[in-house]
Amino acid sequence: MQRNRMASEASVQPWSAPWSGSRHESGYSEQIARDAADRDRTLVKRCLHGDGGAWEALVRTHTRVVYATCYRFTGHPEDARDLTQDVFLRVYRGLASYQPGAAAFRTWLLRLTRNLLIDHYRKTRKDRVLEPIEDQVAGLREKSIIGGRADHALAKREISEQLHAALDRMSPELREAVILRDLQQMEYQEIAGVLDIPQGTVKSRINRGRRDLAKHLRAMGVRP
Amino acid sequence: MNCRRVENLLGDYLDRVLPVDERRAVEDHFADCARCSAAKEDMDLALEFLDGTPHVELPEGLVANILDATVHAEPPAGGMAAAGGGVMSWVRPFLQPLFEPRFAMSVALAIVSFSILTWSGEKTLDRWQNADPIAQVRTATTGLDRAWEQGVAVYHQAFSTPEVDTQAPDKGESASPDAGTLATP
Repeated sequence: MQRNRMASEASVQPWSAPWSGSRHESGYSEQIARDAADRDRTLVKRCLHGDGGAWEALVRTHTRVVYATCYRFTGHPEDARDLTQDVFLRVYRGLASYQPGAAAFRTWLLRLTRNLLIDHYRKTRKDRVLEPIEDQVAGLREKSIIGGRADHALAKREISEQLHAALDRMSPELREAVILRDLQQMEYQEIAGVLDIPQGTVKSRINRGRRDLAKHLRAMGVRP
Repeated sequence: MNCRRVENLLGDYLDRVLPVDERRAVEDHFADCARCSAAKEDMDLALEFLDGTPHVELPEGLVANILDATVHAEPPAGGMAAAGGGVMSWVRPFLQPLFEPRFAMSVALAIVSFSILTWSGEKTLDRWQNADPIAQVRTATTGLDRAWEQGVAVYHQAFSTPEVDTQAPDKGESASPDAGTLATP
């Protein structure tokens, strides 16, 4: 599963490392990330010169990572869609303020995405009433019984729902660290740039986030 | 190897990027330490689950919607000028604070204050330059006399009041009953 995941992501995300025995092949992916950053820098420059094609290329390259981050963080496709559009609208308007020397375009873009997600989290915190975990587990089991494991699409949906239910119970700090590292396959250095915290803190948050996630998965009966 | 060191290396251990000797040392520690071993088990469980989660599919038409929305939006601020000049891109961070609302308001207030001061200063200067020297001395003397008189008046008023107060009871005692009668309405 891990092998397939990494290979498949590499095909759509040029910065992802191909599988070669480790979860994150740092040396190879660093070179790819550097090339991608150079390409983005050129596209931004062309974009600021009024090249519409360059803007389209930037959008096509980065929509997936922005949408996936928003979707994993919020757990709602509609919210993720709106937030993704908002991110790109802000990027378009503020493109001239991007300083290539300070950070890679992707880091800058994800930092903006993260800020919007935190704003969204704060705005919706009052409205979000967490369902008691017993009800949530019962709901998930019921769906699994009705659908049956044979239905692959339903099983995938079920896993996604379980993941969102567990992520929803985590603090935003731990949640974003786990999403960026384990679902977006980002390097520690890039995560530190996006979250604007030291690498040591990133590692510590990822460790705590994984343990917290395991605790919620066990409580939901998803894992023994 | 202690627990703190293992905690720091745990991410790299699970990513399988640790050198063989460090990997062995971490594994030896797991065998002796139930706490770190439990942490590793938790993380293994979380990672196994996360690896099994499906990819996020992009909703249909999202890219087109973004492109459509940005086409109708204002062009990137700065545009050609921002990208064109190397000097401009270097100078921009220094100029940026000048366009902050707070800074603009301060500059506007400073300009207004300076204009008022200049205007009133010029008027006074004109008056002094165009006046007759004898008249200037006379005006100054008159001004000084008036100030002296005012000062004296204030002094008398200030120091005569307690005197009146201290004398008040005596006056009251020696006052005729008619005075009291007159004072009452």
